[in-house]
Amino acid sequence: MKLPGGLSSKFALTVSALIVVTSVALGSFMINHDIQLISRGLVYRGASLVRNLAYHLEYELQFASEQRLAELIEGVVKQEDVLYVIVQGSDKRIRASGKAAQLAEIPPLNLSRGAARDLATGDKMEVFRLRWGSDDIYEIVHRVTTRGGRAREEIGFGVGGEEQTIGWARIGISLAVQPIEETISDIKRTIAMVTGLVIIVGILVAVLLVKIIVRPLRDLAAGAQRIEKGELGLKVSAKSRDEIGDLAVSFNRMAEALNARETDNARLVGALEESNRSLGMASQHKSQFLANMSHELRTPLNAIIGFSEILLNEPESALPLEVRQEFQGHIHESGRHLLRLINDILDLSKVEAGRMTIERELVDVGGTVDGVLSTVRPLASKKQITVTAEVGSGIGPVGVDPAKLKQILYNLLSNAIKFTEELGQVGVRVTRDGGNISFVVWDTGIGIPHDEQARIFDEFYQIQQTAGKEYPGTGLGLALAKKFVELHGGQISLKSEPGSGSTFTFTIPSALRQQEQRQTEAAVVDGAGPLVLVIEDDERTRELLKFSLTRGGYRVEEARDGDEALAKARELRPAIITLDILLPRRDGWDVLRTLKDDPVTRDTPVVIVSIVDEQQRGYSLGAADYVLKPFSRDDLLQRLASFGFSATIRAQAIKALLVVDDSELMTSVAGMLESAGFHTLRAQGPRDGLALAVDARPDVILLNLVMPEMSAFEMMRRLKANQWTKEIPVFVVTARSLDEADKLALHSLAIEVIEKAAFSTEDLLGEIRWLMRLRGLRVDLPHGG
Amino acid sequence: MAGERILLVEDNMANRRMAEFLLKSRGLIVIEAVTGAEAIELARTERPDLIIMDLQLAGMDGFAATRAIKADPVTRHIPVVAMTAYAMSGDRERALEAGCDGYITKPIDTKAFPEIIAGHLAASRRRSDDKGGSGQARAGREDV
Repeated sequence: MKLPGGLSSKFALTVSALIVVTSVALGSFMINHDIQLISRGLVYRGASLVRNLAYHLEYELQFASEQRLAELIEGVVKQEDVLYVIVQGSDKRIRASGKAAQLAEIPPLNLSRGAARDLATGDKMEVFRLRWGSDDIYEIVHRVTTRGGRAREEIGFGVGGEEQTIGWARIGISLAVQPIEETISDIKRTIAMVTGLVIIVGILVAVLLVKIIVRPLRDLAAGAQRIEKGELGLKVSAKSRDEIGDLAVSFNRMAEALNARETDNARLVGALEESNRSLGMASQHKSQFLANMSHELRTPLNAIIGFSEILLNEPESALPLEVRQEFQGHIHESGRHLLRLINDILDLSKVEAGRMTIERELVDVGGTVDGVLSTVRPLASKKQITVTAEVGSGIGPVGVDPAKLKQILYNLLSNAIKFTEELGQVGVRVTRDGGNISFVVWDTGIGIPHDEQARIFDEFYQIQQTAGKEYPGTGLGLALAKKFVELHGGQISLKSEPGSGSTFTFTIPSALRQQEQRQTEAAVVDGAGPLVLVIEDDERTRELLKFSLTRGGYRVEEARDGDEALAKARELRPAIITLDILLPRRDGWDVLRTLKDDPVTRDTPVVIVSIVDEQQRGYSLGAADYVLKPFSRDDLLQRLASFGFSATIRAQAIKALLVVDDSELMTSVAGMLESAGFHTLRAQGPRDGLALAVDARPDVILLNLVMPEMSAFEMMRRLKANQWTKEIPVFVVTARSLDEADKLALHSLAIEVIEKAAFSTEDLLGEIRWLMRLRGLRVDLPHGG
Repeated sequence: MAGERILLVEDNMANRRMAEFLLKSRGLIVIEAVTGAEAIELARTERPDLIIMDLQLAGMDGFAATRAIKADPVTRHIPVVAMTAYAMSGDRERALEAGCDGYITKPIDTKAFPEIIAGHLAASRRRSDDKGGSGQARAGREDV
């Protein structure tokens, strides 16, 4: 059953009804009880009256006159609650009677009377109840007897020994008598009032209870409804400290859990949608990449196949030599372009597959920038573009993958040169920005339209070309540069204004992880360079390679044939392999193929050093570089350095200042140092030498004693007096034997002397390395003296 | 087939040179364009007998250039043959939809290439003869 107003009115009504019923029942019970008490009192009074009357009647019935009897009755009837008195004789006939004034008529004896059993009766007394007119009457009947035995003697007269019934006395008393009625209605009123009060108070209490109990319930219900509508952040008040409070707390907790789950779900759905979208985009990106790649591969292939077909098909007489050569040039150039493209695509796919790893080591950024600049300068000078480099002081060695850094710089710089008009400017600037090294590559070129800037790092994206200009490229350079920067944990960005140039900025965190740092330092202290496996059957060439590589700071292991080479490559895990092609039994191609098939050796760069000029075949089989015999030592070392193994790069970091007036001596010492990877600065005289020493802060100074302008001793004194140069170790290279006084003077200045007659390349390098190491230790322990 | 003027739109230098060589050796006159904008301009001013269009051009691509040429009443009658390294499915349909009259994929067959161009030139000539097209072409020229 549903009541309007819900639980609260249901509750209030029920409680009120209960209170009313209880109060009324209680009230009527109390009224009845009171009436009964009054009745009982009346009956007792009546009983005592009738007993008294009967006592007197024993005599009066036997002896007294009717007059006396009437007086007696009248006395009784006078009592205010007595309605009537009837006296019967032994024959049950009425001997006398009397009634109160308010009673119209005495009820006849034949009127049926019910025994009121609940009221006490003796053996001589009975109580009846009867209705007479409007009156509710109790009639108490007492048997009148003669007294027998002893009682008789007491009063001095008697009719006989046995007790005999001689008549009955009846007294009728009524509740309807005025005062009694008043009393009863008083009681009824009081009880009704009390009941009413109880009902009112009860209803009030019920309403209050309803408020206390139902209000929070109602709040809960409202909360549940709102939650159903989606307001999950809702809280209901949980102030009461009872079951309802607990319920509210649980409810809030449930809502919270729902909310959390909803948020989780929303996040999950969002993540799913996102991953779906990115999957879709990746798939789209992939097919777009494939379509682009197919296009980019077909374009140079078109030239290669087309021109070679023309060359094959046209009779020789139809094509002048210049045309033939031009076509061959197109084929060659397209082939090279195709190779670059494939290399870039392979690099990109390696990055995408997560297989491109970063081999960080401490790198001299200035040296790297110089190296890249020397590669791109020919491109720039063709267009008379000025290329400048600013490498901030205090950059120090930076933990990067040197090969990747070179490629990033090369891609950005060659791009800058490509898109810069003749006589323009291109520059690179390196600064330290907290823990990051910031590289800025700028140009005064054609710039990049704003609407294309967002896509410029996309694969295969090339900017709109202006009429008559061509900017050949793979369209992958910037994409690769971006990936390499990101592999280093850095970022790349672009600012460009069409017509006034572009500026690419990338940052690379400079720190090496501690372990890497220790390894690199250890390598420097041990002097143990990266291991190169030289595969070469000709003993003289092998010796030459070993000599060149050892000078370059590498360790060398040798293999005389293919089988030995493969075994050592697996066992020793060299950093680089140099491979001859013409080997006994198993030729170099076979060795290369096997190396590239073996997961252990697959990633080791293989440099082919051979007289066989089949570069395409070498590259297509996976060679990292191809050096034709006869090779120059510098060229070989430079190419090996491009793989980023540390020995050469670190050696380059050592700047040696040569202050030598003898040009022959200068050339020989400088050549020796440079071939060992040193960076040399040359000064013809002591003044230049001093100035350069202060400006460039070389790591080591070499000088000879016989000099014009200023005595060598004076110069050395000045070097030791200048706070910037006093720590730089100085070697004296001299052709003449020094006397003891000179030697003493030099030693007092902490200067090493190398006598020309005695020094060999090994000695000089050994001395310098030893000194550098000493200096390194001194830097580490500033208080060590 | 000689003396007809071909507008060659191709941004790769080597490929342009090769097509030029193949066309010239058949006695055709070759006008060169590198960008889409250049192609539209030259189509209007030079009125070539046929356009060979590389579809992948940086900036405005060959599809857009072809649509522009086919939308211009002055140039719409000039047959456009797409020459493209796009060889994926659907690329040909896209080219024809853009208004190209023919479609050659790279790498091209150097022997077949001049024949295909000659075929397009002949078909174009037949069409303009049917419509008295030489008069139309003259009238068109007077518009400029």
